[in-house]
Amino acid sequence: MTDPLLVVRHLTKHFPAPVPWWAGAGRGVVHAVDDVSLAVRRGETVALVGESGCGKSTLGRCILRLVEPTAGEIMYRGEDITHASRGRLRELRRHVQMIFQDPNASLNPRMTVGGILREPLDIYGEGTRTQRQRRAVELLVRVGLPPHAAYAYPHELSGGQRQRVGIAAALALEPELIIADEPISSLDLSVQAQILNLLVHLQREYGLAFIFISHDLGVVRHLSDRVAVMYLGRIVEEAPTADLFTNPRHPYTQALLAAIPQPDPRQRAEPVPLSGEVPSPMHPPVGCRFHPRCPFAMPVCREREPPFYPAGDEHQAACFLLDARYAGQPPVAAH
Amino acid sequence: MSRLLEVSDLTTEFRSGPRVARVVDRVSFTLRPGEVLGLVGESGCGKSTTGFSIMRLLPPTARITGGAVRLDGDNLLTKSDEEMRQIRGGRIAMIFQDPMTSLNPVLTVGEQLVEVLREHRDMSRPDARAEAVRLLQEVGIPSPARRLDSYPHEFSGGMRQRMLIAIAIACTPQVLIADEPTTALDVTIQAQILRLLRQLNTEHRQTGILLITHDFAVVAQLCHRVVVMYAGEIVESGDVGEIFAEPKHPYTQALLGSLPSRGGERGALPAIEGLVPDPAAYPSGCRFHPRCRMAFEDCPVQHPSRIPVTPGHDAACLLYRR
Repeated sequence: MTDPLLVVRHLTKHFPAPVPWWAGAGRGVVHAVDDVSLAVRRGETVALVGESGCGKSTLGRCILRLVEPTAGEIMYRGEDITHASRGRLRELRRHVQMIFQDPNASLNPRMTVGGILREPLDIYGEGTRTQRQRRAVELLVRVGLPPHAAYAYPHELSGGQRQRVGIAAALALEPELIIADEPISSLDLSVQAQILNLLVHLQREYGLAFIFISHDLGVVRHLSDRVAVMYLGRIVEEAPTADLFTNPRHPYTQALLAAIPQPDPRQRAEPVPLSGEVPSPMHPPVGCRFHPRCPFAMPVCREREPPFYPAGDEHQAACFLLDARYAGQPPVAAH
Repeated sequence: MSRLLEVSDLTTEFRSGPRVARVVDRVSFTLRPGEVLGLVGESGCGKSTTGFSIMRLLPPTARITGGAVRLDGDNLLTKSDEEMRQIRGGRIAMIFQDPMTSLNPVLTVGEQLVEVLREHRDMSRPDARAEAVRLLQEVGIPSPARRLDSYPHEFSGGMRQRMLIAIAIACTPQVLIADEPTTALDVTIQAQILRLLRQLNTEHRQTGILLITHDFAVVAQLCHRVVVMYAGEIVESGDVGEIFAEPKHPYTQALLGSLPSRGGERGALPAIEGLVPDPAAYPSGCRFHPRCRMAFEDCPVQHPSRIPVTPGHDAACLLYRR
């Protein structure tokens, strides 16, 4: 096995939450990401899944140092970049790029598409001006846009075309790793498949590694090699994709999978949906963060945070049910 | 076969200067009592405008230019504004994707429910309050008596959608129009709301639900029949089992084929090339022909009408012309 491209160890991000003056003194803390470890290998797609507020986007942004982590370390090709200088970060960001959910918000509305694609090449001084122009057009063609799109402004393009520009901009510097944060959620159904196909194709062509952040488990199953499931700032289960979908071990993963409505009227599941809602990340529950909603919660779950237990090849889950000392019976699948 | 809501040749246009966009174009369908009918399509296909046209809740730039909407035989398009106000919330109710924008932020949940009950069901204040508690209980809001005095912002997204459903069913409407009711919700909360809608549909047997959505999975889980819209028109309609097992229109076939959860793993998804057309400049002939893999020489010139393929299943496609 080759060395991982990216290793994240014990990463934690706490945001200060100002408490309004009328609610008393002091400050709250939002536990967005708490003690998360993750590795990504060259050419691999790792999906981060979870519901809104689980910390998956914050984790993605911490890796790029778009937000500064509170604790933990980020290693890129064996180099600790947690405290890398601005200059060093600039170098690193050639290799690690990001694609955002909303291309409206991430593309400069006052620049032409050609300008947007040339900008990273200009900043890093790649080639001559003519070479950069040519490269911008090449990128457009790569992502399936006509060369004359270079003269268009973002508002003149459709949502799917704008997302293609976002992808082209991320590819401009030939990165090794792309962090894609819900890249297709804002797109129309018929366009989602186009963009997914493009991402798979580019990955094969360039041997890119992806961190794919998504709430859509159908898409994740289609696209990723491995999946990490997050709940309230923590990874609760991590496994190869096929294994996770056929043999989920954490009760939250089981509930999440059972809750996906199937696009097939013959499979009208009547699973008992997970009751209750995700608690506030300002006051995560003591012990296992999932215990208030967990149908299998045991006394120990209210007292201690579960460590990871091995659950198969490259498969681990943070649940006391996997500990022979606590669980008399194996967990019952929710569906 | 009784018809609760009968929409025939409904046409709605948006005007801005010389630009006329026919967002809903001769749309016809019926909703039977106790039925959940799915109205599916991508953004801009006119499905939401169809819902708002039925409710006559259109922005000033839009106008219904033709057709009829009959509720139990009564044409809603000829009603006065005052009559419509009585019908809305009484005989037809609507719930939306974003419950926060349809709730009044400065009134408590209880005040909003009591207002509806007093207006439409002529209840005394104490009776209305008791009924409000019962309704919140019915939609699964914990400790309903206490929550009555909370404001909408104190609820989570899922709870707000439950509240909106409580307001909508307060007057046991004959028709409930649900416009993307679970789109803004997380998947575990979506499952809860789908379950609630299904319960309501079985308990209030006579209520017909028009479910407007882009999500085929939600349709598969909840609907009895499906109407598929593309570029302002209905392109296919039929029983939910048939639509999913044997879609007839190339657009429906392509949409269902492009769902990652139905496609194989990692293989290329059969995507539909091109874009949804601009409602002010629809393509000639069949509006789907520029994106259709099966298009032949007649498609750009001849506009297909809805052709029955099996009883209760029709498709607007020249492939089925006799």
